[in-house]
Amino acid sequence: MTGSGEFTFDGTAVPFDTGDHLLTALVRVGIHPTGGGTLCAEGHSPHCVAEVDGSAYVHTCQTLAREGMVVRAHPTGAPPVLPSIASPERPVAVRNIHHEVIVIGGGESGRAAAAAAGAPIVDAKDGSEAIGIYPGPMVAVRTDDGMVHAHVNRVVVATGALPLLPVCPGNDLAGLYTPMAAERLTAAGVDLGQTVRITGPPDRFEGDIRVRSVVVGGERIECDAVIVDIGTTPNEVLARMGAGLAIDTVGDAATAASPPPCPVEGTVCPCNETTMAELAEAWARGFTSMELLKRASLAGTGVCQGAVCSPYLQSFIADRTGSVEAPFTARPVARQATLSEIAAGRHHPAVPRTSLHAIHEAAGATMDRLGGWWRPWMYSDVGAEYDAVRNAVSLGDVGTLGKFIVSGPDAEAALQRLISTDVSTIRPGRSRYVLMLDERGYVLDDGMILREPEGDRFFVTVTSGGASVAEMWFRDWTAHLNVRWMNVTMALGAINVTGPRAPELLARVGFDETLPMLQHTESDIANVPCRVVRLSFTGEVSFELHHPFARSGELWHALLDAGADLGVVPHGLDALSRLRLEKGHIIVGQDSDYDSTPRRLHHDWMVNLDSGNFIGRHAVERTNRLALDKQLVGLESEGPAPFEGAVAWTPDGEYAGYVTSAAWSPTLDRSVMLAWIRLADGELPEEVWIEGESARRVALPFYDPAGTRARG
Amino acid sequence: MNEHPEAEITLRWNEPEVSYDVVIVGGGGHGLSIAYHLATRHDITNVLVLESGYIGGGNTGRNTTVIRANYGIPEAVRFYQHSLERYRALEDETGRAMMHDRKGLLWMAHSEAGVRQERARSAVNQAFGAETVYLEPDEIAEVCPEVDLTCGGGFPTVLGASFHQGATARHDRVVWALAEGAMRRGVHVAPGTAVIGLVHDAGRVVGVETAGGRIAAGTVVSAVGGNATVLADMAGVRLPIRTHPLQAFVTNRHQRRFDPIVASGDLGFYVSQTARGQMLLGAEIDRQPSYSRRSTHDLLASLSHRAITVLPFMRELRVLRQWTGSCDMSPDYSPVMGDTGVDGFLVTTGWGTWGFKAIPAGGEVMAERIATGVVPELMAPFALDRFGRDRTLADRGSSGTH
Amino acid sequence: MAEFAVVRERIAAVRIAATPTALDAARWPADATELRLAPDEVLLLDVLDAAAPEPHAIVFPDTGWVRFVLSPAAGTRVFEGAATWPPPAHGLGQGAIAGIPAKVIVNTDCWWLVVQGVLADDFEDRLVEVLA
Repeated sequence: MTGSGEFTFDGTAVPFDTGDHLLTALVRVGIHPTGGGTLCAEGHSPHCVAEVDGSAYVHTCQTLAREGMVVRAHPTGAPPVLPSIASPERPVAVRNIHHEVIVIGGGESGRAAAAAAGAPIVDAKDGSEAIGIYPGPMVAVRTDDGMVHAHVNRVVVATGALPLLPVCPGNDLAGLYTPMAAERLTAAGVDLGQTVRITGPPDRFEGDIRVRSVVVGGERIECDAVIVDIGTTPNEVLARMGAGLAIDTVGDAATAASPPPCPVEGTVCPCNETTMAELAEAWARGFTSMELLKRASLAGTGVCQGAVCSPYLQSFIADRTGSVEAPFTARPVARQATLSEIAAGRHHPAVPRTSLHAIHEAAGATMDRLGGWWRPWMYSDVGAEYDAVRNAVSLGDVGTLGKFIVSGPDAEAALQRLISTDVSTIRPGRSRYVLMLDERGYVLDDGMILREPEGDRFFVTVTSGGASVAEMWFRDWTAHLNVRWMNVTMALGAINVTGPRAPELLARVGFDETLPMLQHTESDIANVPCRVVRLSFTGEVSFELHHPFARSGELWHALLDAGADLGVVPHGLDALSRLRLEKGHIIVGQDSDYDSTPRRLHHDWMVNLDSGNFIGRHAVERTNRLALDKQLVGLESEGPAPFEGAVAWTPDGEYAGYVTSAAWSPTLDRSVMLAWIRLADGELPEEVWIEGESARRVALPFYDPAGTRARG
Repeated sequence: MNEHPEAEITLRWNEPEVSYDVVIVGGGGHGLSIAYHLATRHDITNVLVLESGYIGGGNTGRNTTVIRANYGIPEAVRFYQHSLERYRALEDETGRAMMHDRKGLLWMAHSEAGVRQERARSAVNQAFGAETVYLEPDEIAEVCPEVDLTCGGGFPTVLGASFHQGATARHDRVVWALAEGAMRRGVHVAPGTAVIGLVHDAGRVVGVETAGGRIAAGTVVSAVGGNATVLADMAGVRLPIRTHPLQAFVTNRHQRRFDPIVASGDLGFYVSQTARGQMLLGAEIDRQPSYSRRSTHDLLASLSHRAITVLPFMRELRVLRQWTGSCDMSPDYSPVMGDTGVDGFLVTTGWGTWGFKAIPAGGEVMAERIATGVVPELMAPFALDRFGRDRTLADRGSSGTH
Repeated sequence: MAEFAVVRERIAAVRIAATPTALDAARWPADATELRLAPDEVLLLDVLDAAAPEPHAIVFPDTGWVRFVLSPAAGTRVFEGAATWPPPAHGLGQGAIAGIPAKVIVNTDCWWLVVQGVLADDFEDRLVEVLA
């Protein structure tokens, strides 16, 4: 016959008619895709799988034949090879649908349930395979046109019954069909030859490659094909998988069934070729329960996930114990899908970009993900960026800082609860560097508190990347107070203007106030309304300009233009990290650890134990009474800077700790480091060895200990 | 060696008797390892292991079988390195193949922060005997040509760290070999027997209650996973443990080609090919604490997406099965082993995502503690009272992935 | 894409944090579109300022939002392809779209998708992808 198209099977052309599944076309020309084994034509039996267009384990009975498809049999005696490295990408669409009810299964009970509920039907016969029922409930469905994710309130499982596949010698021959397979193949015009239908468990099938006769009840019957009509078992795997979710099971899937007679011999698990003899061996070795038997025999762990062997495992156990054990745990997936199909519609987490992202990119900056943001790591020359800060003026994008506005009658009380300082002593227009501790007295985050001139209103900043945790922390702990919180992290841009010539630059763009250290004000700079905060992380005179998100570009360019002759250049995080290290400033999360008490960090000066009942206070009081075991200390050496994470050893060769931050300081002409160092006999070592270099413990900060440069 | 139907190990079950020197609650890898080491190292065999389900059916059977020692603090590296070496020895000692397969663990970083973390971890690993080397991207391509070094353009690989001794083993075989070894020497193992209460006498735990009755014990050890807090509560011990689900999945079998274990901290994903040829994928724990073992589509889809970003050849592989285990997480991401402050009641818990690797050493040190009354040096830092003494073991090298 | 044109625009907006009762009772400028983001927070689109609904309210002119204007057909397509939740029949809905937190405002003649500016580039890429 001539079909309406052709595909190839192991290089041989196979004609097909429109609407044929691959299996239909193969059987029509006398090919069994895996050489033998009972075919079900419903996607359960593992005996029809093949590689299709480079993708292995495709159920040929569920796949419509298409012109030019390349179908290959799996290797015999070994699993398929892994796909080639250069396998092409095939985009998969995903469609989300929402219904009150969805019905899985298009048989009589499914159609009735669908009609009653006005619900759509997912039917594997139509090429829609439910791979699993997940919390929601959500039913994930694989189709040839992509994935369907059905979000519903109730799922009706009407998946009917599975045909029992025969377990006896010769059950791996070709020419064995379930009644449904025979019906579908015959309807598609496939001539199965002389068929015999058996309705009881066969003793054996005989033949070489194809079945030539079947022996049932001791009687041999010659044939070309056997229709194995030996009963069914409820197909309730989806219902068990989704147990506890809003699921109704109806029809044959919901019927109670007793297991079939226990076979005597033959392959019981076609996926892993486990025989009845091997089941018996495992049983004799003490693997005497369903789950242990499965693991010891491997039956049920293959492609069909027990669809074939599960009832026989039940009858095997029942034969030995007299009681029917529940089937082994049903786990997703019920029908297979490729990783591409499963991943359809997914994205990696979107990483926020600051208001200046495009400007950094245009300036050629190396962008990196850091602290949950895209940030400029370096523009072109970290040395020049460093020099600009130390000797001239530079701009840094600090829009990533977590930023909050706090207001209300209890605003001060709320912050007192959250912060280990006495907030009441921060005067209007002033600010303070503060710590947030957790209940264990460990440092959760650091930041700045600014009190507004209004007095009962504050502006709070926290670490970049700390905003979402901080917001939950704030709201959780102050829900009982009369306070308003607003997270303005994503709504404000922020630029740090830093360097000895920063005041000069700002004066040129309209800000010539004398703003003392740790004070803040509001002012238009280059016509952009800014909150100006005088502080210092770099060790030089610094002004943070917080401003509306949409105005960052014009402010940035105005500053660069106005300061061109002052040598203004932007600095990235690499330079910033070195600059702040010279000042001994920590980065929470890099220099601090889970168990960093203020004392271990040398930040006990930031904890005011007289400032009320702040979170972590009791833990700090308690841990302060314990012997100190380790501290974050400053180290310097003449050698090159070690990498961050390098191990420190005592002169005696004992483990002393590790470096958290390290850089070569061009200003100091030596390497500077922060490191966690263990105390020995209550003492910190004066000297440690790191990467073969001696490092001395020194007081912090390394640079400008008097702080005269930051004060300007 | 490939998996095959069991034809070596033989298990013998016992109905519990009324009294034992030691009752171990939890027939997973840790519980059975304690029993095995009590019997083989200390000749203590009047021991009962109680298991509410089937042995190895909890987290031992639900993890992703990675054995590594490249953790982040000296105490942990020492412990896991010892455990890793003991794994290899256990195969010879028990005469049972655990399908221990040294594959090498390749850990990739795609950001400066990721690089810093890998360098820091590698440094402490090197210092304490867990050999690690850095790989530049072109060297990664040699170790694992399947990796897309740009990760679809979105996550260019900056550095790799290779832990040569990274291995996998078949978890069921580990459990069964330990169980068999203990049973042969007289240890009783009773599956399907849940502990419903503890027996107290004068402030001491002196036994357990089961549906089948009371069983007296000289020492009760909790080697429970997932419900460790519930059992400890019966003893009046409050554990700083939260249980989070951890999910994983496997694909169908394929011929072995993919040699290393590949992980990406930045993408939060890792994969290896099992002895049976399945690609086995894992990710980070679910953020929300829960005792649930229900698998989610969200994790399956997200993990699949991450996997094909790093290893595009996996796009056409098919998902065979997904499952969920329960991770008992301590606040400092380190395990909790030993005394509880209640006489007669010991715990081993807090095994998070690192319990499987610790099975040999965890059982060995706990057995020594029970037999000698002395806390072994490898175990001492992991004591429960470290939280009260402010001597926690913050281990950044353990967080996130396996 | 011609079928599914997407217009991206910055919006003038005011965000207000106040007590839930004050927000419930407040009257906003007539030309504002009110998005009640949370019991204690409201976002007013297309206005430059608003009166404080109570003395301690935080009234914050917020330039950190970006609006994408789509036809109803395109909006429907975006939800079908990229959201696990159904769009509202009319008015405001909030949730992840293509993995990014978004607000949707379903108007009779067009849909607005409003996202934070820090994620707008990613969002736009993903919209284009799902509408392709």
